[in-house]
Amino acid sequence: MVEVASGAAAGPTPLIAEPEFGFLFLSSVLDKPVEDAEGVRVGRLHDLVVAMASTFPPVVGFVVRRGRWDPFALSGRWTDVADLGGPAIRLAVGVRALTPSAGSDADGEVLVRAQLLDRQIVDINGAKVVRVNDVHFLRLGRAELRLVHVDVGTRGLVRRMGWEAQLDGLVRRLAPRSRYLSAERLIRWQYVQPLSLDPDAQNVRLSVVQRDLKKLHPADLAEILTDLDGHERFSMFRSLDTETAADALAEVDDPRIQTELLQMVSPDHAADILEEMQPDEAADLLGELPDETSRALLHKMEIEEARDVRELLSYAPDTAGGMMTTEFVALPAEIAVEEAFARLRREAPDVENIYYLFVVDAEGRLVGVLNLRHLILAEPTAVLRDIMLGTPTLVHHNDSRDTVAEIVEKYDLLALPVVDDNDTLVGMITVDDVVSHIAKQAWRRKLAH
Amino acid sequence: MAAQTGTLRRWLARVRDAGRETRTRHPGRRRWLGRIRALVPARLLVILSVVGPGIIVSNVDNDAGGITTYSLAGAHFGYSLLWVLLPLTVALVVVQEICARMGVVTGKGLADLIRERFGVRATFYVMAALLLTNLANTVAEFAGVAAALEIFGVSRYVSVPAAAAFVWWLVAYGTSRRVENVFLVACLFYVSYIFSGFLAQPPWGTVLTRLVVPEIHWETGYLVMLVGLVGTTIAPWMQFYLQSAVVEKGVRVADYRYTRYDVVVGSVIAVVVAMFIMLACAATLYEAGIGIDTAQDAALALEPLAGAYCAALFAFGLFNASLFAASVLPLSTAYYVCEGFGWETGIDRKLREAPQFFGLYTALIGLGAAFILVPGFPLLEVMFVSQVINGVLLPVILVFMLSLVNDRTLMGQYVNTRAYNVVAWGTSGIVTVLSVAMVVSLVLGAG
Repeated sequence: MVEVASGAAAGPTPLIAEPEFGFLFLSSVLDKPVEDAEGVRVGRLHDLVVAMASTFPPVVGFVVRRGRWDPFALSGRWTDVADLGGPAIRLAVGVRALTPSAGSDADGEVLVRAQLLDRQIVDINGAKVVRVNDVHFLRLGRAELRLVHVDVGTRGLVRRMGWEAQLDGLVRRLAPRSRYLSAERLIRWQYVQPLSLDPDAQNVRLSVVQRDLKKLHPADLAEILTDLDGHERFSMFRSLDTETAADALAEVDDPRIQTELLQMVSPDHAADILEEMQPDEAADLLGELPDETSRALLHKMEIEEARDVRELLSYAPDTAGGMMTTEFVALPAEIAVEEAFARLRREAPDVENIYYLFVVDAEGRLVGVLNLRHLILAEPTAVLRDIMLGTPTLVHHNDSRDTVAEIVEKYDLLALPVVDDNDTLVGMITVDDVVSHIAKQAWRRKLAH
Repeated sequence: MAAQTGTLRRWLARVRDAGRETRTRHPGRRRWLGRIRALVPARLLVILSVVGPGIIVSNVDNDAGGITTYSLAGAHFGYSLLWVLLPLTVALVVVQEICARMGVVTGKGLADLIRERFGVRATFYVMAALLLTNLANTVAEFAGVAAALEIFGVSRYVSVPAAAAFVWWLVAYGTSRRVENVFLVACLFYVSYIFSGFLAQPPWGTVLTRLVVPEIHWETGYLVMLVGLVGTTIAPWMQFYLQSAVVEKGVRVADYRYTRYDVVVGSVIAVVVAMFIMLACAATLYEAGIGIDTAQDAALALEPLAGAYCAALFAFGLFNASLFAASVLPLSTAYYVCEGFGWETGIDRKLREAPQFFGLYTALIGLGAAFILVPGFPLLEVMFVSQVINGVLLPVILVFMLSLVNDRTLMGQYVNTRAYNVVAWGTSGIVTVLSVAMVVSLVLGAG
């Protein structure tokens, strides 16, 4: 890392040195002695304050303490700093210009050491929760600093221990090609989501920096939520919009964490989230909750969505009925292909899988299945009855999970219709609901041998 | 393939869009769950979902080293050390309750909190010391496995690799719930000590009076043993394990009181087991004037005096305790080292997701088992050094813990009350003095 040594100004008046550009790690200035304009020692640099407003937050203030655990602290604005480069940090003002306080109450300002260093953050790119080992600043001119990266790598740990130079020398001698020498794990600030550490969840300061978590894949988001500790998990979940929250919640593997999250938001918000979810996912989730809670939530949901979910809840969880979703497409047999497309556009937005379409006659009896390929390749005027497959593969609502998995596996299906005792089509099971089950079986077989 | 599936022709009864009437309902998952829930009071469900970590951590503390200490205390000093057990229970409960409370309230492990509050350096040195002492302790546990099974005529070259493989498999392929259940079953096996205590037929009247009437003998051996009892009961790594286990269980603050029961019950069980070990040895070896050096000696010496059952139960107890601790120690070490350095942790992770976690776990077990199989390995010295590090580290950890638990920004309304602080600091003070005394006596004794 290039660190340009500045010509330490002798005498009380700071020289206006040439602007210096380069990078600087927080660990290299933290706990450095601080002297005022008269050269009187004030204490040690304890913390830096950054303003969160811009892409690369500028350092706007600092905190000085006499010792790390000394409760007495002074703080000042960064514009009062004359020089960073020497053995001590020089101020441009006298000690009286500093105010006795240990931080910053201003909104949108964050204490780097107290709130970022050694804390957990979410690496948006890698979709992982990691710990900040060091903070990386870009130096623009004499004393302007901007936060550009956080360091989450082993080098950062070693640097904090104060062993960087020694260890580098050792590694260079033993293994000059080692990846350790070049492998900086720096995460750009725009991909960092700091996590609030305020145990009092009422005033979570997550909003200081709100990254666009929507860009993450729901499965990654779910994994992050699972990795986080209780409070942080909750505050992050609360900050998601309803749709993102629903997608992420559906992907969380651990039912305990799912129910915990759902019970932590207000009942109204929880109901909104459940509405956004696929009915089968919502039903699974509600099945995990205590009776009265899930009743209350169902009551709060929109009638339409609640009805679907209630219906699904009436099936045992380890049967086809318990695995299915009630969102599927059923088309009358007598309509033409054109009309079928029009209906699809109207009905399909909420449907999980529209590759398979179920065809019914005027009395509502299933007369066959179609897939999208048939529909696209057919003449627009052709009637569905003439182009469909008349022998659908199906399961009964009380068939076991294993039966469903077997059939999906055997016929390579993307979706499978489910009928009840009256042979009414009640739902459809999509392959993604089966895959996890098949995977589990495969594991079991593997372990049994 | 079920007969009704495949290419059966089924007819749809209604179009979805046509308004549906209610259909006949099947006894569904709601009602089925409701029935189960109706049978079990809701509160019991909550308790069952919370209990575990406290009981496990207290019991695992009765490991090979602990059992040796209790056996020696009974064999050499008879019933005269029994009174220590009551204050010891209080100390154990106080220290562990603080950890459990921190885990529930902050949702973070102790290593996490130390890292965030005291920075990288403090974390590194604490972790390094704990890593060393836990490696040494793991070696001691495998030595316990070897010793116990040698009583039953199994060679250590069979028993130790088998035990290591079992322990590794348990965590690498288990889920946290399953592993915890295995651990809880292991706790049940400690009952064998209670049986062997009864089989030794101690004079119960004497036992009761000696339990509540303190006495002190100003002789070196007695004092060293007194200190050893405390030192072996409260170990630094336990606090880390307990807090991480509570966090991984995800106990809600509202259910915290059950966690408190968990800790109290666990501590009481652990001390009761310790008492029966002391009784078994006091009623037999002490009365007969037989001196022993290890738990293995104790089991062998019990046979002619109290019968084969008593001895076999004693040996089985030692095997169970050693194997149990050999699982928990590497696990807890992997937990807090990874926590402190910000790596993924948790039994429920896959190997690929948490390479450092499983790497550490594997290395500790592998090394721990390997050392036992090296002929002429200085086992006693290693155990001795690990006890010294434990003793020196405990005060440091206790100070960290108390400063964290009294931090209002961290714990909100759940900081210690004043009365509790007095007890906690008092306990820490006494435990610290005794730990340091143990180290000094060990060093002097060794020198």
